[in-house]
Amino acid sequence: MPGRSRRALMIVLAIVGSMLAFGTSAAQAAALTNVNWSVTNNQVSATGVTYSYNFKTATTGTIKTITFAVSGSGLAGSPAIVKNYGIGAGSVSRSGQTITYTVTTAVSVSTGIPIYVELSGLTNSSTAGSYTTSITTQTSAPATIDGATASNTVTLASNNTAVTVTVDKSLTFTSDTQSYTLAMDPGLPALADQTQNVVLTVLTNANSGYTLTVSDNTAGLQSSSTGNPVIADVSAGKATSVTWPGGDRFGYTVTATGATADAAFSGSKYAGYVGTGEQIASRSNATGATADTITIANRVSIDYGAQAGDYTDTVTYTVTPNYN
Amino acid sequence: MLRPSLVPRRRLRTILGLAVVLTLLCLAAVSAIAAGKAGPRPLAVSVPADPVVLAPGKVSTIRIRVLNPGTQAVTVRISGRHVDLGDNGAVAIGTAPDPLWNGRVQFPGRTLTIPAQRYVNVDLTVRMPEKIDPDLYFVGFLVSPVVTPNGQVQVVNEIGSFFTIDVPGPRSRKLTADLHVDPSVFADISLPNVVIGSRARAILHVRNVGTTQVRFWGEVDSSSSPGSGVAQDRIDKSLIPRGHIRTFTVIGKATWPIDFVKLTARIFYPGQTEESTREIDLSKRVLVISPWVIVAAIVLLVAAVWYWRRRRKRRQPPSGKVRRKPVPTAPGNPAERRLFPRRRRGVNEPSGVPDRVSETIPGRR
Repeated sequence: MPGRSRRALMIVLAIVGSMLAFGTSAAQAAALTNVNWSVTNNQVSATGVTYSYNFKTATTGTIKTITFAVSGSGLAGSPAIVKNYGIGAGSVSRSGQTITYTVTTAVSVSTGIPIYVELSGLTNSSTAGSYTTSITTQTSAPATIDGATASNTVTLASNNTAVTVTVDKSLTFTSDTQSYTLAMDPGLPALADQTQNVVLTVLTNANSGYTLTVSDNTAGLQSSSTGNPVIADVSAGKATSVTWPGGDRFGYTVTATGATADAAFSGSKYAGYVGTGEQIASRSNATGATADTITIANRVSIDYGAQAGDYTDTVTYTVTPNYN
Repeated sequence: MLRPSLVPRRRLRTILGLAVVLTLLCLAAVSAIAAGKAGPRPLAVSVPADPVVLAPGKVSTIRIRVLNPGTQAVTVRISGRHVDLGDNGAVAIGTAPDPLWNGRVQFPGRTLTIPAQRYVNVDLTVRMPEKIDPDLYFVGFLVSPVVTPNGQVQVVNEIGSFFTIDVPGPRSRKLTADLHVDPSVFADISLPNVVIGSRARAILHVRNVGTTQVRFWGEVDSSSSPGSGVAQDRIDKSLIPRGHIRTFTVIGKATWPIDFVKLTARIFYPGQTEESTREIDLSKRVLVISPWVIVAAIVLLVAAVWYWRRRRKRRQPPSGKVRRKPVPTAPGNPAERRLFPRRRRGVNEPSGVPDRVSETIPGRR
């Protein structure tokens, strides 16, 4: 008898356990967390509005569809996907008040994964009032994984002022020197070897930064005296940069703060300007409010081999914001 | 004859005259120096941040702005230029106008003078070709200050810029991507998928192998096992021109001193239309071993060797003392005793005399 009762107890426990297990699975659809909805324009009937949804998954599951059911009526437009994070690539469609994001190849999404979906091309309802969006994640069955969870309230109104602030992509480029003259004399070392610094500063909000290039006249530092003598470039470009060799030479080296100077100038190496232009410094992100400083040290050295006269050149620095 | 009272007056006049001449000379010298090296020349250019949508055959104006944040007026010239897009966002402005936009974008023919601390809005009229494929197009231009020759070397600071035109419509986009883990290298031997450090570092390359420009976005998820949670680093929307590449450094942190870190890169980009997206998934699993684990292992190894040697030494009695001790006489005949001398050098019975002594042999071997 005790054996029988033990067996019966075991059976009862098994039944209760399985019931509990099934009960848990049936009620596993939990609420999404950190649900947030924002719109780029909250004027009624506004077109081309972008809706952004942020939330975190509460249950691990293979998400095939996410439905965004906007309360009220009057939602219109053909949505397009601007960005999606935390969820696979997919397609979007709208039917009445419900926008459906369908994942192309559904994969398991763990608990607590932040999901962000940004949809453009929507038209707000023409009725002023407070709206919410109920978000639901579902499997391909379809079975609900999480939700429906209501978002925060977004108020569409006709008597408000829509504010749009547009910040242009801007770049400021400053040169502290517009021209310079070096009074040189081969008779004294201090006058035979001189350097003129040109300090360039750059400020930009371009996300990918900027590129700085430099070029000069094809003839280089040349005199208009008989025979058009030149003070030769120290090298044929940055690829053949050298430590200063002395003699009759004209060249430059670059140091930078904020920006990255080209490696050709490391170790105080000098290069000659080239007519076709060469990149000398760059930056791969925006500068923020602090300007980058790029110092170009222009060096000229002469000896008695240099013919007397005025030598001239035009050095052009071009800065271009990068694309992003 | 001059009256005595007039003499100082004349002197005063002479002194005043000299002072005026000197002042004028000083002013001239100062202005000459200023002309020789004028103050800084700042210049700024702004363009629309986002692509401007223009359908084929449309005529529209796109506004750019030239600003003068300086304290002196600046005269500039704006001219159309070909723009070359490179890898990782690099832009190079060409020396000639872009044949595609030459005559289709009207740049101001005259120079523009911008007073100090002011700006000029320049509305550029764009006439779109009747037939142009849906894509992103870049219209480049150069804003160059007009320089009056002064001094031996003229310095020109010019700004090259561009704005983007989006011709709407379905298009064929195609990206490829690869993910390479930086392995740790020891003595020129690299261990694949093993990193000595606290984090796994990988390089993600995204290439545009299609026929149109692509704006993509993505994320890099990193998880470690053992460990919990997934870190999600988002890649903001970025452009890749045709035939070019974007490079990202991807980092996944290990939770434990010895940990498997999984890096998953997900690249998203629009399909033919923007109603659907495409995805590229790449994953790498890396064994991350903290350098402290290696240090600890070396310390343990050294300690183990030291302990083993110490134990071994303890088992052997000190040889010097043994040599001095008289060898205990074993019973039996001496010939028998010397029969197996090595055997007798057991653990508890060390031999008093070394079996063999090495000596240097003079001369050639």
